[in-house]
Amino acid sequence: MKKPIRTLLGLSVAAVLGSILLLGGAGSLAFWSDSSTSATQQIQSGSLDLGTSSQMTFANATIKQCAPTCTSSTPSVAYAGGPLVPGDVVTATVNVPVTLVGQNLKARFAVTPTKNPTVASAAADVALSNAMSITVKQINGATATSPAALTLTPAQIANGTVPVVLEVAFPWGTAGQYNDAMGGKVSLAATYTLTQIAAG
Amino acid sequence: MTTTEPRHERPTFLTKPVLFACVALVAAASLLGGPVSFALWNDQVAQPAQLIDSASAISLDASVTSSAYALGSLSSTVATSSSGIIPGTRGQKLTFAMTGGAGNGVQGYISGTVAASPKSAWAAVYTAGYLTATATSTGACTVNPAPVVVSGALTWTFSTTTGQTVKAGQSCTVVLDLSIPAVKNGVDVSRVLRGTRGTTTVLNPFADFTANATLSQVPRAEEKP
Repeated sequence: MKKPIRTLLGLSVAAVLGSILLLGGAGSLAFWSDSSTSATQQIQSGSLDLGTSSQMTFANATIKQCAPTCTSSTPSVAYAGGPLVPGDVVTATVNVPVTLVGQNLKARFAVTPTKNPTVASAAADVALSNAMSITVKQINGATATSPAALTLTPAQIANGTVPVVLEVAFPWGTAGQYNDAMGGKVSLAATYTLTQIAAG
Repeated sequence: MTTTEPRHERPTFLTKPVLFACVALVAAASLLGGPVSFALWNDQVAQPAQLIDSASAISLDASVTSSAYALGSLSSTVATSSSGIIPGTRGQKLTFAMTGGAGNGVQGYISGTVAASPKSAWAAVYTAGYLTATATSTGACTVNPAPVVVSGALTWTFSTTTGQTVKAGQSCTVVLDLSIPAVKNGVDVSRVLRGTRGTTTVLNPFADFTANATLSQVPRAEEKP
């Protein structure tokens, strides 16, 4: 008699367990459910970039003569690229391509002008390089500081460029002071640096 | 009987984590320290060199020519050479030409002097006032006809004519007419100077004439068309 009871109990336990297992399956739950996946939201990285060097040339250059100094009324004319003489001041604009993309992007734009004798061993080139000066007068319409740098945001860049006004001056000097620079050649250039800074 | 010191075990349970932490710290510092791994962005570009030339030299050439000419006055003195001053008979003209270089890139102002340093043998020409010298100019300069004595030398000054400049290739000319009269204040000058005159082959100069000029660049605003 004991054996059938045990068997029945075992079967009962197995039946209960089977029911529990069946009820545990999600597809058989009694309550309702649904699920959905949102559309993909893309997050893009911004951009900070200077154009290529081939895009940077002197443009709209003008020349005037400061003998020995200039005033706001000193006339200037278009510079045709001819040789300079003492007192000549050439002003040129370099439109530097700048890309700034990003809501919180702020960058420091710096300009470092350089001058070098075209031939280092040529005395006239060296004398001319020593006599001449190249300075940054304006960046993006603002009077340049020293060192020449300006904080930029994307909204401040018009037409994708930052105009930089450079001034090349050959001083008037005293009589004969720059005679040794006659016939000299000097190479002028500038390095532009764009560095992200904290937006705050 | 020997005793042994107790061995001190290395606390490996501490050194390994510390070692790993140090390595991680160094690696992090290295990454942060490298410019390329800065979190912020940057870019740099160098503009191609622009070549600027200085104008070629401003230059001035000076030359002098000499010629003799007959004076209109009467004189009993007979010429003994084809050149040179003969009191009352022949005068001498010195022409100093200062010419701006053809390649001058700028116009200039000129200034200078013509100086006559007397030779000792002919000091009387000066001291007694026997020499008649007339200075005139043509071109882009004007000479002051009244000489002054500078360091014992008769000196005429000249400078750019008002309202003018010396352009490339343009000249400024100063002419000195030199003569000695036959008679000056009742003195027979020919006779007085006879002992120091030259010969046909050996002239006896009474002064060294030298022109010294400087051409200075003018501001472009003052250049003339």
